[in-house]
Amino acid sequence: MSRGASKQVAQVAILIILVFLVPAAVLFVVRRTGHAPRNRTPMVAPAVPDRETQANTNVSGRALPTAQTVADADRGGNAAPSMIRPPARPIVPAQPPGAFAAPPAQPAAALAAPPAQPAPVRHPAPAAAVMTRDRPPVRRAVRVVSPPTPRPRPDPPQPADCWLPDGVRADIAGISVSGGMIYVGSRLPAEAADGPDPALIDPRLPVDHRNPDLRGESMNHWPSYSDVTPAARAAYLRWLAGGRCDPDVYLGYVFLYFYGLERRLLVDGRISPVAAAERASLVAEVRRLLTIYGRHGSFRGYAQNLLDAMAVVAPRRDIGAPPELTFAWSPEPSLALRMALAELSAADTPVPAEWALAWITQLPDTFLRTPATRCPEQFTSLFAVRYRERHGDGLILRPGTRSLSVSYRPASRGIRSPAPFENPRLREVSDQAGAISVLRQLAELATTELEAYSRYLGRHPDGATDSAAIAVLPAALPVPADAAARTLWPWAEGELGDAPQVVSSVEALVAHWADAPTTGKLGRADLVVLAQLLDRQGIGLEPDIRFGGGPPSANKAIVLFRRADQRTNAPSPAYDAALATVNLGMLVAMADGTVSAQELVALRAALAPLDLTADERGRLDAHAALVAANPPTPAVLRRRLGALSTAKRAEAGQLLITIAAADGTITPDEVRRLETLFRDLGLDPNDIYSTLNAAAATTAPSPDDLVTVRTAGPAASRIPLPTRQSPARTAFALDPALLAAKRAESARAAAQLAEIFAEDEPAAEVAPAEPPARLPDRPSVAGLDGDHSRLFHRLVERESWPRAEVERLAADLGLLTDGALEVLNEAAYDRAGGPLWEGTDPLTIDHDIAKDMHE
Amino acid sequence: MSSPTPKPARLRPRDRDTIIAALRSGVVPRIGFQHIQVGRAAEIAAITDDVRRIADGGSAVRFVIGEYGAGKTFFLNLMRSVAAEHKLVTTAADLTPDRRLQAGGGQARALYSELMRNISTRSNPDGGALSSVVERFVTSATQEAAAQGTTPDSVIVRRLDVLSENVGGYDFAQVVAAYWRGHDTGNEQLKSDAVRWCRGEFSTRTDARAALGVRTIVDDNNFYDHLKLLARFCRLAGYSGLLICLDEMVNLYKLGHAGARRSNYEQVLRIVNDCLQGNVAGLGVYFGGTPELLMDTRRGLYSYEALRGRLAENGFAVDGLVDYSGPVLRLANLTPEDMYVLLERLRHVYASGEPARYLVPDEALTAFMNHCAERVGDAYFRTPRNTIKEFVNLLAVLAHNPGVEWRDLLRQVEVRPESNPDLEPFADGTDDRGPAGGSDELSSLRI
Repeated sequence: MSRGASKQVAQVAILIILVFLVPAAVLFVVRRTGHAPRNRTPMVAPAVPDRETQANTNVSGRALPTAQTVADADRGGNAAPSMIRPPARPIVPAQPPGAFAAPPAQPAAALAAPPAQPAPVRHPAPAAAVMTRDRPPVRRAVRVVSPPTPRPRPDPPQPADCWLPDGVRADIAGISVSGGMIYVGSRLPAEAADGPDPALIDPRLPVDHRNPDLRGESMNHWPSYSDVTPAARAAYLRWLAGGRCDPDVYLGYVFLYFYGLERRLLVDGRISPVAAAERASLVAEVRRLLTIYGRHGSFRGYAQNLLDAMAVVAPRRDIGAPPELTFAWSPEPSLALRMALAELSAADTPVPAEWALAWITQLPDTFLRTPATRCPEQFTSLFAVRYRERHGDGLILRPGTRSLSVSYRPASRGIRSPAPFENPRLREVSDQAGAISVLRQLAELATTELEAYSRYLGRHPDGATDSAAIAVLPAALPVPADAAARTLWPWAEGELGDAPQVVSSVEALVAHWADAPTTGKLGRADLVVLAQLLDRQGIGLEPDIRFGGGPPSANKAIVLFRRADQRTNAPSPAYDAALATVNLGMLVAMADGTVSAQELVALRAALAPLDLTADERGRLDAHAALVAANPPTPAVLRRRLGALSTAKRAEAGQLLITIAAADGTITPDEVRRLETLFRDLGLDPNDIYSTLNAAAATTAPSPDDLVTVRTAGPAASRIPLPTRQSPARTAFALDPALLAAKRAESARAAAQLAEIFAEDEPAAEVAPAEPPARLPDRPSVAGLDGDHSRLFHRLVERESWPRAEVERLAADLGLLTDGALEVLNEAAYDRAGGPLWEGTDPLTIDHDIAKDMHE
Repeated sequence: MSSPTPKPARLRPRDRDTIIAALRSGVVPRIGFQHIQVGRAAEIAAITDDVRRIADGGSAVRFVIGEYGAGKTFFLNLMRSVAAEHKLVTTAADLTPDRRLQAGGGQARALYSELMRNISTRSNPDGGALSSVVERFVTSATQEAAAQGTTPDSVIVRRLDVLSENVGGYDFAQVVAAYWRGHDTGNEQLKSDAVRWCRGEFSTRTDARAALGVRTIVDDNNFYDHLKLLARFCRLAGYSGLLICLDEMVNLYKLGHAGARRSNYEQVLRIVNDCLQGNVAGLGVYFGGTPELLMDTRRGLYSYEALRGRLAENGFAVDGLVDYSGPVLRLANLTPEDMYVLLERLRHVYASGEPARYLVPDEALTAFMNHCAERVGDAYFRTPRNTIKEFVNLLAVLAHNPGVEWRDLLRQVEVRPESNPDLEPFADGTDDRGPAGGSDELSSLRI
């Protein structure tokens, strides 16, 4: 509709409202401003077209189906806007005709999303379908503009007297039905349609007891007791008499019964205090049915909708516990959740972490990644930790402008759709974009933190207490009581005591670690795990694979040390250079057989200009202790140095001299050590003297160099203290940029040298795990190399693979999972024009493509 | 009008399901475009040329301009799939108030993170392929190392040395090396930190240094430099290049603060200059936006003089003459004929490509269009999101209820006109689209 046309329509509409509907509008305003009456009678539906119908209902609740009533009912249907609106909720795959052929709806409720109803295939009820099309636009505009107008009821209808309350027994057609909660009688006009209410059991109607239609074959989609076959009636009555709990009964019978409960709650409930009083037992009955028949999506939809509608008008103040963390997709957050959030917001109370998580996980556009679904417990706690860190007690939600409302769409076609149920005290807060965005980020953060842990569990489903799992468990989470790693920590703490570092042995370490490899030899992966485990207690380990160096041999020493508060878990760029410096420096220091405290101080001073964190400095100290504890024998040293190329030897010599000259003084002892080392390096010792001279002359304290200018205590005077600077150095200014470049250059050189200090690796650790024995050597496929071909052959054995298993396969072959998969698919595209695998978890394998790749 | 369109050769079940599911929820599908594209051959030829140029180490920049519902998002997604076929790595993100090209409060980094999350390759068309790209590089490095008898470490350092001259390149190389170290030593934490760094998820340098030993992070100021780095890295990893689609550029137009708008346009200019002058290798950037974003001389891209000069259209391309080589690519809205062909395609896709399983006859298509025209007028083909959605819904009901007559259902189809949310001003700091939702709204299906 163009803008001009709609404007005209609106004008006409306003005119009509002014002329005809002023009283109604005034009344509406009155009701809008006074919340209390609305609250007390929340279920009062706007009833313009059906007023006459109800007026025709006599005091006993039994109406004569006069021609007038029929016409009115029809008109009511015609006047109602279409109920075949596209559902506001995302549609579930199996969309049945039910949603397309529901009874006429009132305007206010027409916006309600109908619950999807997978149901038996039937043609839509013709009466309902015909009434939906081609309303004159003017009239529609009137309806849209005019608010739902509850008019005073001059002659309020009385509740139906054919209702059998809870516990009342009835004998119907020879069957004794106990339990009540049904309508039994001969007159109960439907509220919204022609004829008797679908739920009314008319005992006069024939019942075929011999052939009860237990499977509901004769039932149609909108059953009514008066319309169904005698055989179906027999089956229905049997089910009623049998306790209404046979889980395998045809669902249409459950609906027939449900229609009655629905009518009692919605129609009688709003006019009869008696019916209102029994609401609790009716709701309990619906809830009971839901536990039995909730597996049927259609029934679940209606029953839950009814429970929600009843809950919103009479909320429980106590919000209770949040719903279980489920990862099932739902079209919108459950009402329990929305109400709880609204209650919290109304009370100005922070949202507890568990509710915040329930909220975020129930949003339809939240898709949690595998770590969250694989480790729900850890995810929940981690989310709570991060949430409290960020928001203290929790977010406080500002009440929104809309009331919390539930639209109800009756299952029974005999009932008009009531106005949305709402509670003016509660505001809708579950759609606040700002809060959602904040929570989503937190959920993503927690998921990312759990990635490594989750991946381990994916490969080792029973490995939750393995040391390798604990090692990657986020530090904020508690360690399971039965984790093998728990024995490690007391030992390490005991060894370390108050000392900053302590030398221990591999044997002791292995003896106190239950998950140690049975061979007693620590591999690279074991060392990473050990280092991460000790990290959790703030203890560092040297050697640490993450910071260079290989695994220690069985009889070698290791060093435990106390980590700094700000931990560094990967080496800084300067660390390699520092490590080489420490190694070489220790060689210099140990040349005379002992390492003096002064030498260590000198070593630290040599490291001072480097950009290292406090944690790294602590680690370097530990490394120095390690070198001292595992001194390389002269033979090993000579062998290692001999392995260097000539160019590298020269660089090593330069580095040694730089260290020696780092503090600006060169002692004869140092020179002697340098001479020894130079001879070992095969360098000419004569170079030392000239280089030393030059180094001492040009080594200037850089801006970030720590130079003792004065000692602690009160300043003696304002006169600048003399520094150690020689006159030669003050004569020129150092170019800081050049200095930085030089430093970077030496860092590079040191990094290259670092490899000579790597421990010899045990031979067994180098070889990758053997490929599975039953795949000795398959021919190479599609130009792939050996390992990728092996992976290919494994993958094509099955149709689909869980991601975790593919990761294990790749790990067995020493491949990176994603990289290998990418390589396979690229080869598949090149050879066969399509992908070999698709999906993320699980991966599905296309065997046609695989065949093409073979050729 | 009812002439049969040539049917695509093979319709994979996964494509079919993805298309149907996406259309039913009103978003553009991520795969299977060839099955539902209609027309627009010249535009496709133009973008295919672009992709070839990028794959050859060149660069490209385009502004895909169209009215609400003209199919910009669909076109950009199609572009991504074309690029993926040419072995490009592709990624896309919508600009939002929280995701901009230039900002001081982390919004630019947020855009970068979003781009990194959506990285796709031919094998991983659904996004999340950043680790695949990194691992492919590392895998090739290990293969080379095995062949040469050196360590993967040294191969990685050597091959990434070319990145060092770029801003952030040294640290990028360090991070990739850290990824390899993490794999080599079984240090999952290190691997995951490396990926997080690449995704721009470190918010402080201190954290990045503690986790990875690098001094820089991706931040608001260097995120475009990192995109350029990534483009080079993709080529090093064996892909042809990187294609970036930035949709909903109208969000820059809607920025209320003139200075903020201008600084964002400056960033656009920087990208345009780099791509048009060939300063970058293997990078293509596509922007999607509405005509007012481009042409409003007060607030649009034309308000920025330098951009106006570069984006001005060929003066000869008037009166039906077109020039597809300029940076601006205009998309027209759908026509009823396009709509008809599209419905045909949808019916075909729904029937899994088997004409025997068509759920409705040809006359139903015209009847459906008539019905929609009665309800919403021209909007049914101009902004066809709802039309398509209802049509697929109709097919779904027919599929599940074999006895139902399509004529009965047709009467019940309710189509409502759509409004263009782009024209609504921002509410107070809130974004009516959720952070995860609304990223690819189906504006049209015309190609």
